[in-house]
Amino acid sequence: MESALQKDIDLNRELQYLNLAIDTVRLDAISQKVASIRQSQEKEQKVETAAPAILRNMYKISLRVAAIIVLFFCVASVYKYSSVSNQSFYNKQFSGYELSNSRGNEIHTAQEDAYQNNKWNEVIAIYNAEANKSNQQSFLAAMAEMQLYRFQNAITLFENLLNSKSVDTTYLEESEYYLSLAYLMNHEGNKAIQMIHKIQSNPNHTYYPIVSKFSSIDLKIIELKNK
Amino acid sequence: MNKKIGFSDSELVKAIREKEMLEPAILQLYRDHAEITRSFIKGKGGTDQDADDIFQETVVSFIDSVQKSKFRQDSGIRTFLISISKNLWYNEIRRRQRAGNRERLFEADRDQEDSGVQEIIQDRELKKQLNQLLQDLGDSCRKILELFYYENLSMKEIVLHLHYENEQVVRNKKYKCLQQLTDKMKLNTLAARQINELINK
Repeated sequence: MESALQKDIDLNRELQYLNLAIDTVRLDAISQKVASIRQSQEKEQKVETAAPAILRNMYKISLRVAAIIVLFFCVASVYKYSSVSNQSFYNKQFSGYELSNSRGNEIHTAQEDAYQNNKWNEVIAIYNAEANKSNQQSFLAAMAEMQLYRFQNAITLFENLLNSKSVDTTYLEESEYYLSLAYLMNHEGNKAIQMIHKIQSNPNHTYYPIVSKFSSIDLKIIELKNK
Repeated sequence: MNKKIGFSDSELVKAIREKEMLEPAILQLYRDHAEITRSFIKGKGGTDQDADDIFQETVVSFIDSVQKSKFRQDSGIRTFLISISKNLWYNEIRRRQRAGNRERLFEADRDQEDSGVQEIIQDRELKKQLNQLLQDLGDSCRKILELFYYENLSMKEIVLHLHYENEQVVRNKKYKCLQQLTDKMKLNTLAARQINELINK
């Protein structure tokens, strides 16, 4: 092959153009991914820069009162307020779904194998290729989207699963929990809080033990920041 | 299952090279290294927008270098990123000066030592022009080529992603798109020069 290319300059030229074209496609795909992360970072920064104005107001009020205890309280509040964000709350609460816990020793499907090996794109491709999608397949695809930081895609999958009215009732409660976290990262804090309150109001919910331990102050701050 | 955010340098390079964890890796590049390059560019007369644009381009170039195994880890990720950003910014200033602006050049500061960085800077104009040719093909061509050549999806998977009738339609479309792209490239002077250099090596 190499010697044929050396002899045939036109063939060699064609091959080089083909390589250059493929490289251009590759770079464009990378650029799009980077641009999308940059956008999500910029959104995050905008949300977080809202904090200082409120802080300054609190600081002014505390000066007027001129009480050291109140001042101390304000500083503590300020610190708490600025340190809690959608992102920080998500980082604290998100841990990937452990498939093996619920599946025991059963034989795993290709999608389950891909999921357990963190092959997120493969999990999604298998889901897309499936004609009749089960709740588990939809849930795993949504979790894979979350692992890839594509929260809008994850939300769509979770919402479709929850609204499907299928006879399959598996993964509904898991979906509600992770949907609340996906909403947070998609800057839809109010929807996230609503979902968290829904889980907190149902002691029989699988995720009640986790969600009932969420700090109500943290939730209130997120609610305020998302107003 | 890891919940992870926080690769070491070598894990980060591995995540970028293997692509499966590319998004979290990019996010970490932004979290860990964007601020320092922003400060540098703003310190050299750039605006917030300039700093963001240059860092975005830096990250793309870095990923490209890693995936082509051109990044040697001996220099460290931060050093490499700063070096690319500096050089991109100096080039940008020079380009603007040529366009009639009055910004000053900072050639004295310019990084010359890293040949990997210099290669990135030299290829920049060609890559910009080629990317424009790809954009000109339209979104459907871009998407089909990206899914096949970057995401490595099969024709069957592309049918499902893009809702084409069948695999043959996708195959024909992909062929035509690639052909159009290479035809456009053949008319580009910089691309022709690079191809000639490669052939005559």
